[in-house]
Amino acid sequence: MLEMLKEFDEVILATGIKPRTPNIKGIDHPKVLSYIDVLKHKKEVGKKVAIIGAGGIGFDVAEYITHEGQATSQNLAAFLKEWGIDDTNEARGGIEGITPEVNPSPREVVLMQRKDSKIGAGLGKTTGWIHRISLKNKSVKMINGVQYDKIDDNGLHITRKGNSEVMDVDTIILCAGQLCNTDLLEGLENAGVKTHLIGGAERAGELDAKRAIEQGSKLGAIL
Amino acid sequence: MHNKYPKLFEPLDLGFTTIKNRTLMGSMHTGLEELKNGYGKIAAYYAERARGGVGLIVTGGISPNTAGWVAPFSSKITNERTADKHKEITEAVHENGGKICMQILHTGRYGYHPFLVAPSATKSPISPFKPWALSKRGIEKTIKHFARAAKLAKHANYDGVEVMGSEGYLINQFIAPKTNHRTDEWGGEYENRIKFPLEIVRRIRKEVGPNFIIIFRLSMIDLVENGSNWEEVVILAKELEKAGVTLLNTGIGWHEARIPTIGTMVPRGAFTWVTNKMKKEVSIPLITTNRINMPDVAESILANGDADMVSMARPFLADPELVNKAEQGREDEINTCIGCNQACLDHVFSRKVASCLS
Repeated sequence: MLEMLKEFDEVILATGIKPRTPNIKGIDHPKVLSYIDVLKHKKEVGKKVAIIGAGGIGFDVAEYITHEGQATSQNLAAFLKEWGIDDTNEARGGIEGITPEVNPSPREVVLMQRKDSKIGAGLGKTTGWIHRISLKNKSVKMINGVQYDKIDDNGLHITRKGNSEVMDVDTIILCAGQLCNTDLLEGLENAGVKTHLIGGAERAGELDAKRAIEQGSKLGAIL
Repeated sequence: MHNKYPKLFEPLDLGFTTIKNRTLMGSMHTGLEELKNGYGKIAAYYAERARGGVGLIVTGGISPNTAGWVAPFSSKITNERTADKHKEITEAVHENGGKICMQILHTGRYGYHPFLVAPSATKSPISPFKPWALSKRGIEKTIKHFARAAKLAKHANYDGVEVMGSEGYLINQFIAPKTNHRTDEWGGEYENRIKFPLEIVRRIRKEVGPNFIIIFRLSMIDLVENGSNWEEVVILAKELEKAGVTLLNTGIGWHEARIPTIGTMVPRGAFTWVTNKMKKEVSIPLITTNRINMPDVAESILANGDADMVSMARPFLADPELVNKAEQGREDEINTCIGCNQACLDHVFSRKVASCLS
């Protein structure tokens, strides 16, 4: 790859990120999966799940593992039922007296973060509330201020507000941020090829397609 | 007749004017309005959409007075000096073969400033400020300000106005028992609570004459407790028709509703059945909206008889040329709105200029 790239005058590395593996004792335990394992490699996820990291990816993974079958976004009748909307619009406001019917989650899920801030505070301003309500409807437990102590056959050991407890879970999914994937950078720079980084390869924090597209467009215009 | 989208490209004859197709670019605040040289920027933005084939454009909300503005120094129209500046916008749209209506938006208790007014002094769950209850004189003045804004819109050569009567803004706050706890002639019984919107429309019609579009955006499903029921929505729709409304647009849910209405998780055209239900009740053309993002979705909604026009807002931010591309069979080139809100609404609510992710 590197040899081929050396032929070019300038190279843009949009090579994205690698998931960050947090330094927790027992992180190599077979119960532990990364979000890539779950979303991309479709590895099997147990019935009781702890998700480490409640950023955008943690939320997406939680949504993914708590639904089965067709998404309600593809089925109007199911969507209206899920949100308690009267499909005849005879109820006052279209909702009064209608109980939402949410398809129950096939799994028990706990979504955790280290920070003390509100879970999901960094999500989109106009859409974050929808994700929080959706997960609550699926009975996902959300807890903040968590210190991760270790992982073993008994599950995930945590300390919260001074109390230690063991979460008896089958699977632990890591959504604990990412690192820039810049494996090619050093070789290219050593070969004197002018190299640009964009997107996750440039900054892995708050991974954001919007920023990546903007960087790509601007860089394209300059070159 | 267009062979693939016969309904979408059928002109809509309003008697005194004709809209060239059934697409409406829905009102959306972009944040350009408040920038330096904002009028020039917004004129260029709308002109590009007019060139792209949109039938009728509705501007972002413009307040009829200071109390109704979205936030301090947001757009308002209260005098001819401001109206003259708007001529740059209308001229640019007309030169490019489009038509444009100015939306009159009074936010009521939804504004982001401490001098809010509403029918009653109850704070909304999504605003930090508690509103002042309007006095009777204040109500009369506000109605006059709506009529004045419409007159100024006509002065600025707009083709019409849209009166924002939905999404939980001031007019909606008068209509719903949730927010109107008045005991005078503007509150109590339903007929009292709808006097405010009806009086506004009558006074606007009187001010602008017969050959001027008045769109009323009617909340057809509030999605909050203590909203209107269907019977009441129909009564108001019929009265609005009598009061001189040209086109009735659909409002889905108040901003404070805890039900998604425009996000990615909402099915395409998920609420057009609400508009369909109104079809047999009034004879003026109806506009439907929410999560209509591509020409085939729009065509099937029109073919199904749900409405006479379709409103799209974010899809025209994503692709100003959507309509032309549909007409020319270049649908595969359309930059499709995925409803993520990341660079449009999330930006606007953080007081940044709207853009598009896709």
